[in-house]
Amino acid sequence: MGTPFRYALVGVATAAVVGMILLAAAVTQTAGQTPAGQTPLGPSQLQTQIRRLPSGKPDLNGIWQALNTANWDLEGQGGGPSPVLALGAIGATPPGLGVVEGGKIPYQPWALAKKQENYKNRLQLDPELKCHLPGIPRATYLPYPFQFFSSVSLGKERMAIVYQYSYARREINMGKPTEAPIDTWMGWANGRWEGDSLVIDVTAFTTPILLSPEGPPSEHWLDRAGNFHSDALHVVERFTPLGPNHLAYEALIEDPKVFTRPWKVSMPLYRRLEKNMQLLEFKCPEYTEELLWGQYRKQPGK
Amino acid sequence: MSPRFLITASALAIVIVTVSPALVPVAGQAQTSGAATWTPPKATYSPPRTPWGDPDLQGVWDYQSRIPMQRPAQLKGKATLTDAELAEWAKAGSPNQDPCGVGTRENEECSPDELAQVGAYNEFWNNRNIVKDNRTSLIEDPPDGRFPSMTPEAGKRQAAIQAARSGGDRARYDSWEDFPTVTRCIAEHTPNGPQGYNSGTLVTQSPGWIVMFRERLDTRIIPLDKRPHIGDHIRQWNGDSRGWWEGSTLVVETTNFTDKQIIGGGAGSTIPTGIPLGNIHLVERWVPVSATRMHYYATITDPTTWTRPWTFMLPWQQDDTYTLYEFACHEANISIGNSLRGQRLLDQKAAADAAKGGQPIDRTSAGLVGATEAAIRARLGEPASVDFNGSRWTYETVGGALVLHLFFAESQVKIVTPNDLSLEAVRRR
Repeated sequence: MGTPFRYALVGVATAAVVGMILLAAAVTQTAGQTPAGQTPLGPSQLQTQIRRLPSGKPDLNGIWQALNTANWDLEGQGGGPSPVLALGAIGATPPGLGVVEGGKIPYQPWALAKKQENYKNRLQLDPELKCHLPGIPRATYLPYPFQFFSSVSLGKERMAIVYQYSYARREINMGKPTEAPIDTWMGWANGRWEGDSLVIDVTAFTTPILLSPEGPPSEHWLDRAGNFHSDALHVVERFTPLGPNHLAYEALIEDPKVFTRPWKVSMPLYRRLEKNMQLLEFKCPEYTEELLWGQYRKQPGK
Repeated sequence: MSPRFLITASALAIVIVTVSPALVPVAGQAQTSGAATWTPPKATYSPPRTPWGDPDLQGVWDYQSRIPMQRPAQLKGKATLTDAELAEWAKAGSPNQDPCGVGTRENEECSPDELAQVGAYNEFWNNRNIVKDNRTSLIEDPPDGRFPSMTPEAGKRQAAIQAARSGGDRARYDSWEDFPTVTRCIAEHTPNGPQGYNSGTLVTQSPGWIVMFRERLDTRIIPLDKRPHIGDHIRQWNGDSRGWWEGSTLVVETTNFTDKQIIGGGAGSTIPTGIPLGNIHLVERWVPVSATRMHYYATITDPTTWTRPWTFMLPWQQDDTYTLYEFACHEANISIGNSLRGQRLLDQKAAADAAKGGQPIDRTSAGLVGATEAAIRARLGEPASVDFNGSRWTYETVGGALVLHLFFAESQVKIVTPNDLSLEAVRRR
C-alpha cells in the first residue's frame, strides 16, 4: 500500500506544477484578447475564485470535458489516416502530445506485444467501437462531456458523475470506504477529500467476458490505440480545482498483471461554459446494432 | 408490519381524503369535454430543505406495484379495494417459480408438457417490496381508470405498426427493431411504470439540478432553472426535461421525445405499442405525502393520439437499504443476436423445405411423436444426454446451433422441440 500513496503525493506536487504552467500559458495566450481596461487574472487570483460548497470544500458541480487526444493514444501520436477508408479526413487521427507522465506506459513485455496486436485489430476489438462502458480513467477523457452532482445536505455528502457517453455513470461513496459488492465495468468508487483535491479510489473491475462463441473476450481498453489493463486495475483519481473553470485531473494506474510499476496520466479538464449547457443523450448501443448483428437481420427479398 | 408501513398507510388515507373532493366534480365533465380537467393534488408532507432551499428528496426510491395501468373490466366502477380484497388480489400474483424439474423443483414429478416449458425468470430475480396501494388502476384520470379513446387516425396508425411488427408478411424477429428498447439496452419508457425488478431510483440534487439514476439504463438529468427546451429537431428517448418546485412538489415538463420509441408492453413501459412518442407532452409531479413516500403523477398529452390528456399515479417508497448495481446491459447482450440468428436458421430451413416441395413428416422431428425408445435409438442413435429420470433425451444437430429435445411419457415420445427439424440435421453418435 505504500507505493500508491507515495505516487499520490508526487501526483499532488506534479499536478500543481502542471496546473500552474497550463494556467500561465493560457493567461499569456489570451492576454492580447483581454478587453481594454481589464487585467488578466493571474494563477493566484484564479485560486481564490475556486467555487466552494457551504462545507468549505470545492464545488465541483458543473459540466466538464477534457480537450486533448488522450482517447486516441495516451502516449501521444502524430496525425494519421482514418482506419476506415470511407471516412477520409473525418476519421483521421488528430495529432497530440500525450498525457502519460514520463511519456511511455511501463508494460510487461508480453503486454506490450498484446497492445501492439490490439492496435492492429482495433477495428474489431476496441470496446468503444461496440459502445461498451469505458471504465476508469477512460470515461474522463472520452471526447464527451460529463457532469458532477455534489452536495452536502441533511448531514450526508453525496457525489455522482454522469457521463454523456452511453449509460456511463458513477455514484461515489463519500462516507466510510466500503468493499465492492460485485465487480463492475466502471469500478467501485470510494471518495475522500485531501485538501482541495477530490480523491477517488477505484477498484473491482470486471474480468473480460466471452460474449459469443465466435468472438474474442471483451477487454478493457484505455484508448483507441489498444492500450489496456486487466481486472487487477486499481486507479487513484484526483480532481483538483485550479480556478472557477478548470480542474487538474490525474489518474494513478496500478495493475501488476500488465505493468511493471504504477504510472500516471494527467490533464486539465475544462468547464463547458456554453449558455444552458446540458448533457444530451448519446445512447450508443443503438449505433452498434447493424455492426454487431447486421448479418442476422432479415434481408429484403430473402 | 413495521411502524414505517403503518405511517405510510395512514399518510395514504390522508391523501385519498385530500384528493377525492378534487376528483369528484371532474368526473362528470371528463367524458364529454375532452379538456384537461384533472387537478393535481398538493403535498401533505413538507420534506426538510437542502442548504440552498430546495426540498430534499435525495436517497433511493422504489415503485414496485401489482396494480395494472387500466382498471380491469370486471372492476368497473370500483376504484379502490378493501384490505381483504387487496390480499385476495395479491394471491393472483403468485411468485415466479423455477421450471418443473429445475432448481428448487429439481425433485418434482414433471409431465412432458411441464418439461417442455423453459420458464421465465424465477423468483430470485424479482423484487417484492410492493408499495402498498389499494387502487384498481394506476390511471387516475379519466376517472374510469382506462386510457381515453384514441383519434381515428391514431387507431389506424397503431394498427399499421402492430401489423408490421407481428403479422402480415413480416416475421417477428426480422430485426433488432422488433425488440423493446429495454431488450436492446437503449432506454426504458419515460414516464416509467412498474416492473418486476431493478426499479430502484437514486435521487441526487445539487443547486439548480436534480438527477435520477434509474437502476436500469436511464439517467434523467433535470435542470431546475426554467431554461428553454432544446431545439425541436433534437429528439431523445427520455425527451428533454425542465423542472421546478411548486411548494414541496417537484414538477417536471418533458418534450422532444423520439418517434423511434413505438414498442410498449415490456417491463416498465407505460405507453401502449404502436404510439410513437414524438408528439407526447409529459408533465410529472412528485408529491411528498410522508417522510418515506411520494406520489408520482404523470400526465400525458398528445392530441394526435388521444382525445384528452390522461394521468396515472404510482406511489414511490423511500428505501435506503436498496443498493443500485451497475446495469451493464449492452456489454453482454447476446439475446438479440441469438434470437435473430435462430430466426434466420428457421427461415433458411423453411425456404429449403419449400424448394423441395415440403418435407415428408416421417423425415422431420414431428414424425417422432409416438415412437418408442427403441425406435428412436434405431432411427437417431444414442442421445447426447438423457436427464429428468430418462424422460428427456437431447440430440445435437450438425450445425450445432440447435438441440433436439424428446420428452417421453409411458415409454413413448410425447413432445418434440423443435417439431420441424429435418432428421438429416441430427448429429449421429
